[in-house]
Amino acid sequence: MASMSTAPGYGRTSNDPTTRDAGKPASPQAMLRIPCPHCGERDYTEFRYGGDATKVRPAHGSGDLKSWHDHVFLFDNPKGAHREFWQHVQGCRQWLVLERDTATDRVGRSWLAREQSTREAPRG
Amino acid sequence: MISRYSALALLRRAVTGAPWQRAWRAPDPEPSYDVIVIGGGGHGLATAYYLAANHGIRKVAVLERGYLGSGNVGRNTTIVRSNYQIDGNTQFFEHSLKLWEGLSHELNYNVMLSQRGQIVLAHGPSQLDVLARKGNVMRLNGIDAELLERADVARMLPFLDFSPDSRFPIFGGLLQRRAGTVRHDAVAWGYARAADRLGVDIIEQCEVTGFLRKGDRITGVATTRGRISAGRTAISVAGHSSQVAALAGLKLPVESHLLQAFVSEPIKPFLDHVLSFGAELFYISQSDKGGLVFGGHIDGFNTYTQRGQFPKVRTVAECAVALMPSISRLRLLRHWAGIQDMTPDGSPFIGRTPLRNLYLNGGWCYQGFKATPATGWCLAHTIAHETEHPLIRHLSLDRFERNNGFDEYGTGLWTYKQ
Repeated sequence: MASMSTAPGYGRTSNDPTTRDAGKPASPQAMLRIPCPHCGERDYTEFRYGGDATKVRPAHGSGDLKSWHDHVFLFDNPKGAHREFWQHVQGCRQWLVLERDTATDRVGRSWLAREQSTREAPRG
Repeated sequence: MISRYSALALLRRAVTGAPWQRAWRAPDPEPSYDVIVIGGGGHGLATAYYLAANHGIRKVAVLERGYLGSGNVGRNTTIVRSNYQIDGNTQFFEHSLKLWEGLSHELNYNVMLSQRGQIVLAHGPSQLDVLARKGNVMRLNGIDAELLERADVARMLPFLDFSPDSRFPIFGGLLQRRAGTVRHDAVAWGYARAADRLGVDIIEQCEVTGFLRKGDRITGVATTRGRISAGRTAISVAGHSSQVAALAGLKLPVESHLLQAFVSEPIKPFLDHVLSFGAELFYISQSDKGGLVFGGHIDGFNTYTQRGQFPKVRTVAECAVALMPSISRLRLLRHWAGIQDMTPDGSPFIGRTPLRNLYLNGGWCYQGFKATPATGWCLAHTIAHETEHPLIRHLSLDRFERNNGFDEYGTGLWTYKQ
């Protein structure tokens, strides 16, 4: 099955200088590439996915089971803009927030989760 | 009226050269129906068929955004089986397998059920114990199950890696002889044709854009082909369950993930069974054309792209070669992806919703195809009687609120770990 890597469409990656453009978000392709604020753009296989970053956890000690249920079990599951956690487990091990379009897998900005509120994008 | 398929009809057309009629009509939507089923996949079409066939409700429309069978009914690995362990699942999937066994006659359409048997492998003594327990649960429920020892597996599947230093030594397996594969496109076409014969309107290229409601009661749908009122409405749209439910203001315990499937170049008859690896989630069978059809885990992050990531191709190919070293030089012919509605416990939802006259069938994770007949059967019953069929009472939408998660595989309550 090693021959699969030569199939059409898999030859060009975002490392290819002809397709790579630092100013533009990476285009959707066979490998999702995530811009890590520390380590630069890396294959998504170096990261652990951490789910929707816009969820707000109920206050600790809150006994309101309905809001805990909604927090744990319900998902917006949008088709389009999504803000999500990833941890760079095979790199700097930092948690980051990534903007990604779930309809195209096009990635946008990323920032360290501990530096910015997960619900607000950094300015500028 | 569309004529029945038979040997005589085949012979008549062979002699006369008369063209075959189209298999279902292409009606314009009427202003009102008793029941609207949103989604023209296997589940939606089966629901419409059983509404008409079992409950006499024939003023039914199936609304499909694209074309029939363009979603997951044509994207799966075609496996049908009923080797489930948790009470509720065991009986539901056995009902489904029994319906599969009679389906070609029921629909007057050959769905090409091939009961070639499915073998789940055990790679350690404790795993064989788990399979023995599962087999006992099945047999107590009247389902066929046979525990295989290493020598049995070696006789049936001589091409597996039985070498003394194999990474995943084979201790045995669990065989369900009645399990097998079905021609998946034929399921959509067969249900569509049979439902159409009973008067169901199948309306393609008709996207639902909103719900009509009076208070907490759903009274119909707005579509790209106009407003249609309905006594009852069912959502059966797999990967887009969250989007359609959101049109009614519902938020679901569902996250949409991507599952890839693969087919190799065709080879001579080689793999006689459906085979499941015990060391990873990996399943493989050989199609009638000779290609090896296989799949594995979801890609691992929510997406609607229907386009797989390359690392999963590699992982699944590694599973294939670890299990069957002799296929290492086969080439992949095609691979594709479907959008799977993953739920926190890996089990689906079938039944009523908080809104009156609105029913939901979704969250099927990996299990949707084999469940097609039983889902249609039980959802039709639920719609017709306004109460859940006994086989699906454990699959209610509010089960997490009642701490009744239904976790067949014991992996915990995570959408992307099922």
